[in-house]
Amino acid sequence: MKTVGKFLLYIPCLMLIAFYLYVLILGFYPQVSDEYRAYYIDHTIPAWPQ
Amino acid sequence: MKKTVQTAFYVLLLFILSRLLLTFAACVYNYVTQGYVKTWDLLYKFDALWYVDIAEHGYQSVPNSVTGYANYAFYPFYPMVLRFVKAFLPDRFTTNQIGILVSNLCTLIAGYTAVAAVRIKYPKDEGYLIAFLIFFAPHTIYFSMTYTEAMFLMFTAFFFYFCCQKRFLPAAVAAFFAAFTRIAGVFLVFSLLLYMYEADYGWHFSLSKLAGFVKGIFTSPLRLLELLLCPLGIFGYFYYLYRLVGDVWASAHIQVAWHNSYHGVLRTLFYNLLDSGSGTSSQYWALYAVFGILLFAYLCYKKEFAAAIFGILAVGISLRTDAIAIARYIMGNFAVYLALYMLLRNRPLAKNVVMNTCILVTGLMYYMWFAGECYFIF
Repeated sequence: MKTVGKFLLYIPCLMLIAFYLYVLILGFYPQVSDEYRAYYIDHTIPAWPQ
Repeated sequence: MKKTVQTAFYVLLLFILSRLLLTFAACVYNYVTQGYVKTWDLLYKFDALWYVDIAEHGYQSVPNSVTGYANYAFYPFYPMVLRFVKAFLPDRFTTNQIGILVSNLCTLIAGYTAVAAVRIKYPKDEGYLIAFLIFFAPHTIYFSMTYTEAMFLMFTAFFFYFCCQKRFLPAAVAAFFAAFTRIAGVFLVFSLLLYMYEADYGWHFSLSKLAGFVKGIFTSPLRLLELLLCPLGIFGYFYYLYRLVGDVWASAHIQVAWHNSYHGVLRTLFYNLLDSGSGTSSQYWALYAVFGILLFAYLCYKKEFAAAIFGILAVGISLRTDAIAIARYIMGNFAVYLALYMLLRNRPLAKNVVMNTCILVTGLMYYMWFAGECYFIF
């Protein structure tokens, strides 16, 4: 019984690891406008275009 | 039971005295300016406006077209609590008033928890000094207003309290909420690791012990779950930002709209101390950062590595970009109060000097905040 409980605890652990990896991967592929990318991410323009 | 009630009473008394000082400073300000502004309105400045905005209207998906600012730079748990509490209170209570109420309650709980935590560490101590510091130390004005500092301090106090008891699951839950409140809370995962190591091996390091410790984490799913729980809140928010803005790191990227980065802790300290762009304020902030770093070094000296690593990382992440508002971040960090307590507990003269100075300086800071002459120091 104790072994089963221990094994079951690995399930939320794996789910959390999968979620963190998924979010980290999303971090590499921002879905943003060109202006957003230039100002906030690449810093290629000095000010937010008004 | 009797001791618990007595402790709660003394902590409450200290808390009331500290808020009496704040209200007195507000009275003095109103007398000097011949005006009548309510204390909660005097406290409603700067970031408090952002938190109220988030609590009332939620997060914006597009940055402001003029300033480039966006409210998703601020983390979600505190405004979520404000919104939740507001739903149960009559409409006459403004969101700012609820924020002040929540922050003060968190401060009171943090003070009580801190006393309980130091009593575990030093069973012969009364420990009220740490509550005094939390209520009266300079820059603790943020614990009285609609800022996240009080809530963050409360969760970190819970974290260290449970870690002192070697109860790592509730400590991990506290770390989860701390990271959901401010990003610096995510660093508690490293403190948790160190506390776990200390519980297993003490502070004796060797390769075989390290290997055994790492193996123990993976063969004990509860321990693994405790560690993985800590960053869940912050990763949940990152995912939300991806859905909202399309950028997981939007809360970090938006910072460029507020200020430029020095790209390194030493560069920040150097430029603020010696090549100051904003005059005295930069030097004050940089010196305050040095004060914080020295306190964390003292924690290392006392072998409080878990608290020290949290302090260093939490303050370091801010110092990497700039020293702006660093005094607030330092005085919002529980590790600082732990270090100050350890430093002062057996030094009665120094303790008296520090306590009296705290009251004077904090009273003055309250007044300066109300007068709006605060940017250079806060």
